[in-house]
Amino acid sequence: MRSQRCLRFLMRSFSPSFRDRHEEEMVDTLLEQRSEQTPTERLGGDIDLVRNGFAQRLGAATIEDLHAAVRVSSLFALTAGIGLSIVLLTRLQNWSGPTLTHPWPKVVWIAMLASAFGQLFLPRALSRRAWLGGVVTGVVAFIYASSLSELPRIGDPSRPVSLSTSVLVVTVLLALGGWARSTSLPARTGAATVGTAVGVGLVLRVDALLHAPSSGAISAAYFDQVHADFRLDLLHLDLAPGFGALAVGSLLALALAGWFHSRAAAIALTLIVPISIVSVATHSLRSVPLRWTLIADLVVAAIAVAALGRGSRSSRMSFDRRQP
Amino acid sequence: MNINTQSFWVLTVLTSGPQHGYGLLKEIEILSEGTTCPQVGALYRTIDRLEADGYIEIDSEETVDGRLRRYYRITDDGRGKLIEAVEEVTTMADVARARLGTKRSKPIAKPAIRPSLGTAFA
Repeated sequence: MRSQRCLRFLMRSFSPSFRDRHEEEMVDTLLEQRSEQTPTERLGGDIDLVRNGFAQRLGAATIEDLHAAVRVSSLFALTAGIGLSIVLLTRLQNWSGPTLTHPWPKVVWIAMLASAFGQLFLPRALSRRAWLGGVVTGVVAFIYASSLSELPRIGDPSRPVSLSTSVLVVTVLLALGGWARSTSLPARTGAATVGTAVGVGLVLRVDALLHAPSSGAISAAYFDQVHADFRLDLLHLDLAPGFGALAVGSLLALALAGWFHSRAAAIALTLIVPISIVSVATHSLRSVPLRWTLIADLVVAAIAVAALGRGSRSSRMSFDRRQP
Repeated sequence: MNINTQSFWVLTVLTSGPQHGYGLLKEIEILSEGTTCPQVGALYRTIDRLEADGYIEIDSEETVDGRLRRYYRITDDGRGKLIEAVEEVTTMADVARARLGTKRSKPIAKPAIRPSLGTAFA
């Protein structure tokens, strides 16, 4: 009886209409099957039941969209990781002042860059090792950086630089980039080129700011404007004023576009989830209240999920393409 | 293949006669020589889709030891779909064999499992 109650509870992962049609016979079949299974096999069966339940609710079309979106988001994450690693590698000393004497951050960024390019271009087995190497390096560097005191910042000493934040962000980006390998070679080459170009562009921008004739005056106003808005606060890289609003606005537009093309909503969802995780992590590390950041993320996620749900209800894919 | 592996095996099993969920699970495992071992959740999603598309239908229902058993049978459309899939797989295999330069292996004798399954899962 306990087993039956447990199975009926797990069956709730399926949609009500599916349960109406199959719950009784499925529970009976599962009970029959369980009598021949080991506890480990039963646990595996339970996990699989729930997985299939959610897949059934989402619909095969949505699952396909999400798989495609994960590949796109993964490339995006890796590109961002490459760009940030280049900036951090080449301008860390200038940006954070003379207090940083250890060579380890440079070693970390070189390892991160090597890992990113390895993920993209090495043969499959080696690319997995490159991914693992990058993630392990990032985690170790993050643990070490967390124990260090914050560094004073040029132009605004009242807001010190935290190395652990930037290590965390790049590590998360590289970890998410693990699925980029499943895209085509031209897409990977394009992503690497874009990432490198963005990195070089950011380096030039940072240089221009640091060496402007009245950099002190420019910096104070610039930093205020950027800091009030920049959601990730990536080592105070200050990508651009209004970057946070721009990012949320773009994702919101992408989620809304999901009403017409479900893949857009899937991409918005796969992007907003890691961004939210990084936001929560960085805000928590710096004890900054989340408020609007989190609300904006939730709004984007809710719209994307609604669009995906609408897409899976309205689209009846052909028998041939649907996979269990 | 123009249908997925699990649907292929469900339709194949049902060509021999009506079968219920647990019987399908067991027979697919035997016929596929262990290469396809569907879980219950995935199997019923397949059954649900095949039923919705009109490739299988409910044949009968009975209660054995207090447990509901619903038997499914293949429809004419389902049989047609399976024939289409078999032809496609055969063509693909022939092309691959030709490219590999290998000969067609001996046809595998139909395993004599049906009678025993018939008694085991009746």
